[in-house]
Amino acid sequence: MWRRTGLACEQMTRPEHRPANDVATETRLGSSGRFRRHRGSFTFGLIALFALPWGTVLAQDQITVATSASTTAATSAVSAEETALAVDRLIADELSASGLEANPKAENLLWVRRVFLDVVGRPPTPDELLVIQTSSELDRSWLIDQLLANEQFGRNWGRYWRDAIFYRRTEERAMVAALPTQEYMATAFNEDRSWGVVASEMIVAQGDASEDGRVGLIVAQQGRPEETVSEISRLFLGIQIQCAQCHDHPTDRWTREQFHELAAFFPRVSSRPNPDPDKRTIMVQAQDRFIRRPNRETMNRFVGTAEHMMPDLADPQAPGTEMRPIFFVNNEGLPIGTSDAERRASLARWLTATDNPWFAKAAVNRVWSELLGRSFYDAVDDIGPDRTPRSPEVLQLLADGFVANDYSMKWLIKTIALTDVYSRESVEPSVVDEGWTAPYRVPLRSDQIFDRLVIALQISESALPSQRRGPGVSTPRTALAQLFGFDPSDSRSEWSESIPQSLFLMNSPLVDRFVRSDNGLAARLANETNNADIQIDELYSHSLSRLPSDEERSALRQHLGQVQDRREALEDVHWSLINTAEFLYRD
Amino acid sequence: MSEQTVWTSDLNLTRRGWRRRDMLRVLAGSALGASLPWQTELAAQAGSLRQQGKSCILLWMQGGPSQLETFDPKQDHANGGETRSIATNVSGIRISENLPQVAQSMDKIALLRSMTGKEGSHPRASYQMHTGYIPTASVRYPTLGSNVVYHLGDMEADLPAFVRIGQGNRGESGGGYLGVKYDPLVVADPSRPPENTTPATDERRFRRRLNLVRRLEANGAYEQARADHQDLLSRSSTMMLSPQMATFDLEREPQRDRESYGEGAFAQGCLMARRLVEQGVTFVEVNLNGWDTHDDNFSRCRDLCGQMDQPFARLVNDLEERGLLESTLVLCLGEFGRTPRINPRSGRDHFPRAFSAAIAGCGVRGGQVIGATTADGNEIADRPIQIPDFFRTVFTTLGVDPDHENMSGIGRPIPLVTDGEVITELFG
Repeated sequence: MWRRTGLACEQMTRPEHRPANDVATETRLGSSGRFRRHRGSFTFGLIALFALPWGTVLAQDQITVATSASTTAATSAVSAEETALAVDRLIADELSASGLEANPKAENLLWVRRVFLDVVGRPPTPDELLVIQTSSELDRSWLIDQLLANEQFGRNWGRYWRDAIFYRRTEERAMVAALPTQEYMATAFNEDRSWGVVASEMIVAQGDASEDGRVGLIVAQQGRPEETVSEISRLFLGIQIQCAQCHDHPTDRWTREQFHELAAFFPRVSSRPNPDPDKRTIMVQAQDRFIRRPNRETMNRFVGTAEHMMPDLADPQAPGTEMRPIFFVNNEGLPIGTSDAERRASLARWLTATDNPWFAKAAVNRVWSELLGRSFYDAVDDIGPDRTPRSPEVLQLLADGFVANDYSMKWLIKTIALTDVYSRESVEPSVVDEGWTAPYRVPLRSDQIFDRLVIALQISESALPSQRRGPGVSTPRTALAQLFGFDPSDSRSEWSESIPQSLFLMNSPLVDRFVRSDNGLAARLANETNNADIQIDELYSHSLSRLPSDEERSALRQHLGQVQDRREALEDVHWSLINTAEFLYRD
Repeated sequence: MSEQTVWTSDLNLTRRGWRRRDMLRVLAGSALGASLPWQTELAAQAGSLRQQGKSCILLWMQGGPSQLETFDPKQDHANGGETRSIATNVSGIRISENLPQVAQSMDKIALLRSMTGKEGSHPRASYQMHTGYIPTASVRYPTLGSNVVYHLGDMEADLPAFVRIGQGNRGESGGGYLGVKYDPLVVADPSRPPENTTPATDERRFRRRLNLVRRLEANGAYEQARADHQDLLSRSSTMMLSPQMATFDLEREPQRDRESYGEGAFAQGCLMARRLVEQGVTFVEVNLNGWDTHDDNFSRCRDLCGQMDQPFARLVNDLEERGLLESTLVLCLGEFGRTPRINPRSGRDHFPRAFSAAIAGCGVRGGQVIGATTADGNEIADRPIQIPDFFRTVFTTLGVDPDHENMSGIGRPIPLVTDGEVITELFG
């Protein structure tokens, strides 16, 4: 069916060059004001793809994507390709043991849309699609490497972790740390910094929240020891030890003492709003000298305390029991009186040690869940020795590989994206899990929806208005997040679209303005071609990053035939595609 | 599975969603069908059907209203400052002179003067006074309106079951672990229609576009998602095109009635709340922001009370005149009170230890005061009301089982209210 777009290339002319640095997610592709029929988008798109930062290593006239060698040498102990094959064998055995059959293979371009959304957080642009579609054979490993090498990869996963951390914030002012945290994460991912280093940096961090994203996790919990260690445990170990805060855990082995021993790594830390009104920020500080014991109910923890006290449940007013810092996983501990620096450095070291099984498994479980739509456990952040995973061998294999590759997130994402199960046609989130026969269809996160709108409507994000608001900046992207945002740790199998969300896509001035703009896609298509198929193809490839099925095409052709004014009809089509359920999902 | 309680059987009677839905199906054929001549009549019937259910209006005083300048004045103590008290239409009950109209409706309103909490920061206390729980990283608790609507709301009605009017309070106040379905529809400015509810094109073209989406989604993979999405589009567009959307249009209100609420956004919000409840909306929250009076407390409170007095009093009376007060619970409170001690800037600071709330309707016996503070206002003198007591009372009054447990995201059962006792005197 892609041949139709091929038709559009028949009258190809030699395209002019585009400056390489002009390319961003944001829509430049295809925003040149003219359409492929006139411009010859085949070569044109090819240059666009290669003009992306990743493409600089390749000659511009190099056409065959498939033959390009992988640009990242597999120096690691276990290669992503080998591990993916090992995962495939384990899953194949499991399926045949339970008499299940894998779902059909997804067509190449579906897989491409999926991997773009998962790795760089946006669908491919029409030009990128065209390049991939016209190459004789798709080298998947190569394409994943290109995407991982693009800075949009770090930005996408930085946003994911920003949400994972800040959806659990216990106060609004913490949002001052949200963007710095996202940017810190983005840089770490793009540099492929070891996940162990990232976790350690966030645990030992101190400083200004508006400048140093490493303090984000502490700031989100106002530096309160119980809440901060709960989040460290949940996010980095997948263990919800906070349930033991008040009583021994009902379904886990952790005791109340163990929870408060963990909190005892953090008593000396404080997270304090900056008193200077000209600079609204929060400072994370630690100290080792204490003159007096501060009020335990101090709301914003202006100062820390020398030691952590476990409250007496029978007498909440009593000072409680002084706790030694002891890490519940390996039972290593420190004496009372240990400095803050040594406490937090020890926690970071023990938590990220390769003999702590939960650190690697928590990361694997989370990334697997993001790509496959369902995790090995019932939740991405509720694992641990008292939970039974699906396919424990697959989880172990990936965790071992993650350790052997120095906790490389790029390795992990690439490995999972190369598995056979990831390449299958997806099933609906509500489908009952029986085995890894297919990935699940995943509702997009708010940033992914925004980037999809950017491509569909050819929005220049930097030209949109923004204004300061509270501890952050209000932009159309953040406004969308108010409506479409969710905590990415929540199970997405229960996600449902809300009425205000559908109202936004149907009626918001943002969508309407771009759909009906004189410079909009519909207006320009109406101006520049009479060919209904090209018009339909363009609208589809911008809005949904694919071409229409035959049924869809005939429905649209019929619509174009019924509405007198072609531009109006095309605007209707554009609007309708943005208002399909498909727009909100990664298939 | 929670037990079948006395409340559930009540709920079956009050949640008439299915009845109404069946009626619409039969008569209208399709929710997306062309406008029908008797649709208006239908909507009116639907509204009257839903009226049988219980509703709640929360007048939210964002910032922490001073109890001393509202419901618990201390004229005879230095801490009372310049605020005088006045008699009400209930002998023995005196409130601040800032609220003359509320005073004349005191027989319909009960005062709780011994509310007590521990949270002294706006976001944490607002969260607690909306959810009944203090914020924690592990669970996102639903806000009061979402919890009430989850049990009482008709989610198939044209109008949203939960509407929040006015800006200010945002944060985490939504459906929480119940899901976005129970988030409020936000009306930022009551003088305009709610955001994104007006079609960007004329209605004919809007329907044409919807039909196109329906055709595109008629076939293909992901059957469940297509069906759910079509259902959602149908509900959203039904709401947009519903004659009941006129409920949001205050211009439709007779001028005299409109003026009876007074002027200002809060007054408009209260009027809109009454109009919505009348049409069967289950929960309406109306925000009045600005109560954080760290300086210039007395004149600022006079002004804020001026914005609140007439609309609050009128709302209670209007509901009563329309026979809605017995099924509508009206709450008026903020996240905490303010320090009895007056600071050097003539202000009052945050004070969760002893503050007031007003409550009316839905079987609450008006004209009574529950609890008391000491003469200086610094302590609870009688009958402390903890936050869980308050929430347990609200749910019980609305006929929602406060011990009902929901499953959080990680499968932990969480009751609507943990601990607490119903304030039984309210109904005596």
